[in-house]
Amino acid sequence: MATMEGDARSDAREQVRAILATTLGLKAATARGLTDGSPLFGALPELDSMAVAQLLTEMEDRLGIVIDDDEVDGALFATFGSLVSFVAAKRA
Amino acid sequence: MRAVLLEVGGETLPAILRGPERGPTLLVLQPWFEELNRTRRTLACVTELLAGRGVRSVLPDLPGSGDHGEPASAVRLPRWRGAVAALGEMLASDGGLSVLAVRAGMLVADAVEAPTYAVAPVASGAGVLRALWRTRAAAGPDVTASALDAASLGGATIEVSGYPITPGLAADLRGASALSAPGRLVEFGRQLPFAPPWASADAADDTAAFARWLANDIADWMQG
Repeated sequence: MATMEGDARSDAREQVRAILATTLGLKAATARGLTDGSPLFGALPELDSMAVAQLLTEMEDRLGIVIDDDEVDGALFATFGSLVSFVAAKRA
Repeated sequence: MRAVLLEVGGETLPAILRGPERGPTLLVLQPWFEELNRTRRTLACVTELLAGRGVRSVLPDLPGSGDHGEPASAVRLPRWRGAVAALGEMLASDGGLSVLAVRAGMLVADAVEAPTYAVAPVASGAGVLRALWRTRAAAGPDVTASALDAASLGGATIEVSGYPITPGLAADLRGASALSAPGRLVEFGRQLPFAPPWASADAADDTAAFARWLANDIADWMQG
């Protein structure tokens, strides 16, 4: 069970990494270097409010999830890990 | 470079022409709204570089966008598709025609029967609309994307970053998918190691390098 949870989170991590790289055009090294503790909003200059809107929509379209208004707050984009946890929970 | 007014399909469209008078032609379908503003300089560079490779390009401003004379409230998908179809017929008669569709430009690309080169195309009109509502909601105060969608469905025009999203346009977008399969699709990230031109103005400016990459790839694709 622990392994399955680990795999799901690992899948989510790579999918979120790819979507961030594609939507924001992150350099390969920047995208590869993202860890759960990496800060996002406020730390990545590419991530402004228009980019956040695009990112949410890309995540919905590519991952087949629906994101409600009340699920979007500052905490969601606080770190790479918080975004990965959100996606993993959505797909559980 | 020539700035012209094209009379086509009952429309008068401002357009920028670059490259030779005849020969292989690229019709450029730009992104929409704020993304168009942020992409204009890049597309000017790309089409200038393509002219150097013998490619003629036509970059129109569709009704209600860019330098077009009508207000932004004139933006409607069926009208845009009609204008693009008429442009396609006019340009196809001059020689080989290809289409460059960037972002939401892809939503009207299938109005032309020509091979399409797509740059980070949007997945659907509904997605474009959701992103617009979210951008407006982020500007606050106390407004949500779903409340904006409900107001739009109730007949309200919603301003997003200065662009009026009329109920008619919102309905067009809800029903629109990017239909045609592009002949070539390029995405940012691993494939294109650049910041998208529509990304934050604070992001690194690699417009020149991106424009060179894109112009070379488009020219190779058109000539291949």
